Amino acid sequence: MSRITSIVFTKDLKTMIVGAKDGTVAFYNSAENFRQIAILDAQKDLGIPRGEEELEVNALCVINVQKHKFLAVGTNVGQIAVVDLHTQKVCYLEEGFISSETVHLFFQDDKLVCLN
Amino acid sequence: MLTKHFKLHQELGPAYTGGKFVLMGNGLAFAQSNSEISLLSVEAGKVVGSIKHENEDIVNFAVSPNNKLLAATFKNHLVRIYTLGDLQTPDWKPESVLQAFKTGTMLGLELCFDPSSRHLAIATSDSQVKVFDALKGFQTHNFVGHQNIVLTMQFFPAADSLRLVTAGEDLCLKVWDLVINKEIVTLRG
Repeated sequence: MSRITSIVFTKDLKTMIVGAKDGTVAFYNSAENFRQIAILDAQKDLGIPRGEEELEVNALCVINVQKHKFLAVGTNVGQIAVVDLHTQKVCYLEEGFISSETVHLFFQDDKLVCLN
Repeated sequence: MLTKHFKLHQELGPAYTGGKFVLMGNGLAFAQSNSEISLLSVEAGKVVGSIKHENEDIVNFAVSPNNKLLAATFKNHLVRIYTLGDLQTPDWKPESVLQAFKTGTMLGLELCFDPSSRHLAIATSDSQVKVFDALKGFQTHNFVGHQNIVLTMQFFPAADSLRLVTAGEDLCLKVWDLVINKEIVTLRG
């Protein structure tokens, strides 16, 4: 386990999601003694290209849109990936219009708010 | 669906210089600098109020889930819990200081409220986590176990489950149960 930067929970409280400085996003089953159920690498699995430095996951945000659940993943290179929590596949990769580190992500009023 | 709907809505100028940032409803947000916590109008990118004490530097802050309280830790080891009142008031200031107490001789580095807004957890510079009754200002729990400072923490968001998740510089993630007053899970690399 690397240095943890962000802890979030899904709305149904069944899953705890942890972002870390080593560029990973880990999923734990909170109903089963926080057993690790999956781990995603921001570069290999989410397709976020690293810059000159190692890729770090800095911010996470769970997004609930009707019945769909997504996870926004913010990194030190500024790119944001949105992952479908059902399939654990990337459904949106922000094109990189912001080049500075993402420090906070919020979802409010149907908008993903990104603070760099 | 998301590819079509996620497009840049608005880009704001620099009204934030780093530190904690908490988005409130109604287009408002709290942001921290060294000496004050500013209330920002996100849409306008303007400061519309602040919390500031002369010669007292702020370490960190948290807003309660019911949006009624804000707790701040200071470099002089003081913790103040403010009642926020109406955030739409021009030149907003907090309504009152509900509680003020010290975290011993240690800095309060990280803090968060539980889902009921009743309990306030503060991670201190001696690697401990202290939990306080936010309304009455007394300490209810003291969790010792991390080998280094706690960097981030969250209460489990179920109202009927008083559990706190902490992650430390020691690369451990711990889950604490406030009802039985002990650590129940440690995850290590």
